Amino acid sequence: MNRTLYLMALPGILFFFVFCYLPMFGVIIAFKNYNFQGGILGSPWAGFDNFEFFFTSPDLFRVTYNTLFLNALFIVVGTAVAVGAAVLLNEIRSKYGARIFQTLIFFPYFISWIVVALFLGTFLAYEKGIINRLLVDVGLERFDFMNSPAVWPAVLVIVYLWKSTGYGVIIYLAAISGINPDYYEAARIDGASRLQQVLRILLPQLRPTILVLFILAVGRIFYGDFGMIYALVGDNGQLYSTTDVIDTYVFRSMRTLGDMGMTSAVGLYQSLMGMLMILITNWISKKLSDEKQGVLF
Amino acid sequence: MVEHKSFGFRLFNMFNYLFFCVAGAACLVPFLIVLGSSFETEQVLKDRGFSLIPQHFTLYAYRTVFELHTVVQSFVVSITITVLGTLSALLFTALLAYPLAQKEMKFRGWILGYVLLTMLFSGGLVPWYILISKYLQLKDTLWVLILPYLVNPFNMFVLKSFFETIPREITESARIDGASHLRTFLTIVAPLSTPGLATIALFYALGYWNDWWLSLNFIESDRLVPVQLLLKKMISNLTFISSQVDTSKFIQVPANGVQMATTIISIGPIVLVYPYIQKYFVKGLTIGSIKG
Amino acid sequence: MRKKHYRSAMAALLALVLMLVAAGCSTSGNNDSSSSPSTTPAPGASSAAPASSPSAEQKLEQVSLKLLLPGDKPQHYDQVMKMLNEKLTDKIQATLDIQYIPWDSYKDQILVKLAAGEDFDFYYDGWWQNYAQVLAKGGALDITDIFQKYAPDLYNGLTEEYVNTNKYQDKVYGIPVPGPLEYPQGYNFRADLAEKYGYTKDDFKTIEDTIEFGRKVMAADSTRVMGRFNGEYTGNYQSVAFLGMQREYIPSNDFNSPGMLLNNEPKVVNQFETQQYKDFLKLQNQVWNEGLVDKDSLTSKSNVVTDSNTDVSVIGGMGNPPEGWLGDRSEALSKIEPGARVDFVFLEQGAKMVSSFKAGNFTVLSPYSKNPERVLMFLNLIYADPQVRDLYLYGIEGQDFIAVGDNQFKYPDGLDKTKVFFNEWWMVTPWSNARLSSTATDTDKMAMEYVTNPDNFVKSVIAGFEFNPDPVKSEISKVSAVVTEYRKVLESGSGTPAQQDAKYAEFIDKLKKAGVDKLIEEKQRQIDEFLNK
Repeated sequence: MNRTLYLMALPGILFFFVFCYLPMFGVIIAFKNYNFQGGILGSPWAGFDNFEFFFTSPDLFRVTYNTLFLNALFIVVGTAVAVGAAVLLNEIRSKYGARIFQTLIFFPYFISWIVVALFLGTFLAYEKGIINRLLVDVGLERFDFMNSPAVWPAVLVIVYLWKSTGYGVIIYLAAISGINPDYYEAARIDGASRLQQVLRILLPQLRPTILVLFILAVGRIFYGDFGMIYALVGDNGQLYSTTDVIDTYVFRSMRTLGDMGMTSAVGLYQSLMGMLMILITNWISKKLSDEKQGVLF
Repeated sequence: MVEHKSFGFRLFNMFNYLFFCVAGAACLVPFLIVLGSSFETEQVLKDRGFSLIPQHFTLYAYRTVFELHTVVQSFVVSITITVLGTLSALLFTALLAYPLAQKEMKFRGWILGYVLLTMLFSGGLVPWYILISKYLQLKDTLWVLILPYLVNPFNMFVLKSFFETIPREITESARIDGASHLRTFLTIVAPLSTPGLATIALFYALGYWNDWWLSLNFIESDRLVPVQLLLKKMISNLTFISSQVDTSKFIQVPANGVQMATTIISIGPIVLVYPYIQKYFVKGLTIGSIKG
Repeated sequence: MRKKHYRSAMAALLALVLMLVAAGCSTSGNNDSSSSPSTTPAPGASSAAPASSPSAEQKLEQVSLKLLLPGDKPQHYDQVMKMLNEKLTDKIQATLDIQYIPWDSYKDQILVKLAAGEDFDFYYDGWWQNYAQVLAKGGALDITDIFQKYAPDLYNGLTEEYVNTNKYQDKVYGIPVPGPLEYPQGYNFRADLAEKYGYTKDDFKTIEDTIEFGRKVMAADSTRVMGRFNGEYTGNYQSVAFLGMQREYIPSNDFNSPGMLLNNEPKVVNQFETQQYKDFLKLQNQVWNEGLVDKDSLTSKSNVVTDSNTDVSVIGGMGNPPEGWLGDRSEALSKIEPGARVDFVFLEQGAKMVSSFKAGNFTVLSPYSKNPERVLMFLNLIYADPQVRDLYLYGIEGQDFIAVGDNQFKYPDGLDKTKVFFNEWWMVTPWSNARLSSTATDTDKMAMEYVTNPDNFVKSVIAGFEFNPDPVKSEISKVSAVVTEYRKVLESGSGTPAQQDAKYAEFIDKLKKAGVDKLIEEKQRQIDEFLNK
């Protein structure tokens, strides 16, 4: 009966073939000096020329570090907060109240980064910003947020959490609600407290979901969140030392030339590194699991 | 069910509520500010930045949007593609996720890798564009707004992990009774997975509703422009016009107000639908308690 | 019962699946039923091979032309285009269809459409968009042999010399659209405040004069501020550091690219290492630390014109000469603060600026166009026929605009640019062919006359030179990233003097590491080669 399974999977497999694998030959643009007449296939080869600008850049280390560091922060803190919030929400005894809270924390998802940037501006401005006005009222010194790169990883994480936690909570809550209540019942009969139930039953049951999302996120760890960072930091060069990521750097470098081959080259590098990260983390998860089964494959 | 209402328990509950009230407020207040600002005049927005309660109430920003003569049509388009897209995507994704959740499926690892690879590697915009516009001839069709997003690998992996939490015994007993995989899936697994399915359905619905990328690239006709693209075009144009030196009769170009109004408009339908979907998140629980 | 439902559900499921897959993979004309006709074909229309040279009596085969423009579809589009196309059909047997692409996606969309070989005939491009890339990658049609033949009036109006200075590798690609030849810098200021505090236009001769004026007004009125930044500010060394000097940037519109010429000498210098630049930074720093500018505005996201039309607290700022907006701007500001008035004074009118007579905007023909001759005829028609011009640029008289004489216009009462039909002149036709706003002041007209008169400019020693970025693509990208990172911070003058010094040293050091010297050398090498030809 495996055949039914394959038939069921067929439409999805076909979809990926058509919309993802057919265009995938475009990765060779990274190795070509593209021109319109030649097209993707006919343009002349350029070897590794397109990679040169990125790998000889004085900012190579900085943007790579920022990308990895910020993404790691987002993944770890983001997951912890989303799981925590989901677990806490689950404990709210009024189901009505829980639903309201869950809807509320989802609202920021709908506000675009551009609008968020406008908000952040009014918060952090030096002379008329809300935070600084409060500081002055209390008698403290103003703080120049827009010129202090050191605090921005924290700022970005906080804003990221505000905007994305709602999304993660939906997934984790859905997973939590799918846990067989018999497990809780059995534990309660054995005298486990609610806290123990959470730690010994809920979290382990949630683990597969957490791990899947974690590894998928790790696969994109070399991709900076361009939408967010470009909207919030923009062209405030003062903050680049801690917020400039690979994607914003490439965007800035390509402003004059806009060379397709060079953009494609960096993209290929990010893809390869992402694949490497997934292979490594999946392998680790395989070694640590009881069934010798990796999280993804 | 005897609940042990210890002091620690009640304290915890209190803090829990408090925590979520604060968090909820932190999420609600900015939204209310966006709402309030959308009814504010541009002059005040420029001076103060934002308004929670409009000083000079005006519908100017909304009028700017609704005066666009294709706005009704674009809502029709958006709703159509969201409904059609979500249903189709849910179907395709579930049909793929379920087999991949069955450990006995041969080549499972290969197919998973096959899907995963598409999340990592991309040929870029140009080949994708050429494929869709030239070879598939999908330009200016309703399908082009639906098909390219039919299976999102991330959603697929999430749904698969939901399916994997269904105890083997349930599926096995159904199979022993002679049901085919498809039937098992439709009649047993799917009803048990309503939280997961509802979650993925929500994500797809959001994806389709918020998208302007497909229509930007592939739609030329006014009749097929979804709401998001309409709003984006309008904002982009207003922003540009207001940066053009020779169009200075514009004091009222409501660029800021319009940003706020468009946020509210694009959230509208989803906010209405969301509570309706929410009950599905809990449904699986009740069914689950029967399955013991 | 259940079984029956089950089977029909299965069947429906399968049908849906197959239908969707089939729709996705089919190459049949899916777009027949649901697409709307994007062109208005006249009977017997075809995109046939171009006919022979146009003569008034001979009727050509009807063709449809497609134009890509950035922006949004204007109001009354269908109505105006219908009238326009009637005229075009009558005169050159063509109809025009315009597709508008949002500004922030325009650059990328043009590239993608060119890469896909899409069916359009011509489009707008400019150096500040991606004209350079389009040229380098072969996205423009070579019209050297057909330009003069099919668009004689336009060609002669532009003058052969101007067309030649805008060639690329000795061929004509994009049709240059002349606007101001150069932008001699000047001071935009609040004329009513000047009057109040005893200043006349002649009192503004140097930058220091304007700063002094700012100080005076701020001392008397603390709600005012000498200057403010906006969301589009990326630095302004080009309007202050080299004031009064002959300067030429390479490429001419790119102020970010290190490597420019001074005093019309063919020696490439890195403007960011010059003494003038360092002095300019010091001046800005002084102004910043004196509190003469609004510091918070450095991180604002607003845009120049909205600010100019609504900001009554700012006293003035350096900028380009006005192009007809002074009257409107005064009116806009006076609605907020009665009596407000703005004026402009050149700060470098004495010296003649250097110009290589390069256009910033171009109308480009696509290499895939099937009717390039007809496109040229159309562009010629806009130039030569005022009725076609009016329809295309301004819409229907009485409804979209009111003609004031032959070359001015105004909007009907209560209407503005967003409520009527309009197209930008600088995408298709020279400035001289556009109507001026009837609210243009004398200063506007004087300024406009000044910047379009070639006698006011000295021909650059490298006129006709085209910089080829290919050998230093990698350096350009790296340097470009560094420059955009530092310019805004440095040129706004922010920080203490010590901080600025440190930042500046950092900037120069990073430029060197990014390969700026190699870029300068390459520019010099290419220029030497050009001059020795």
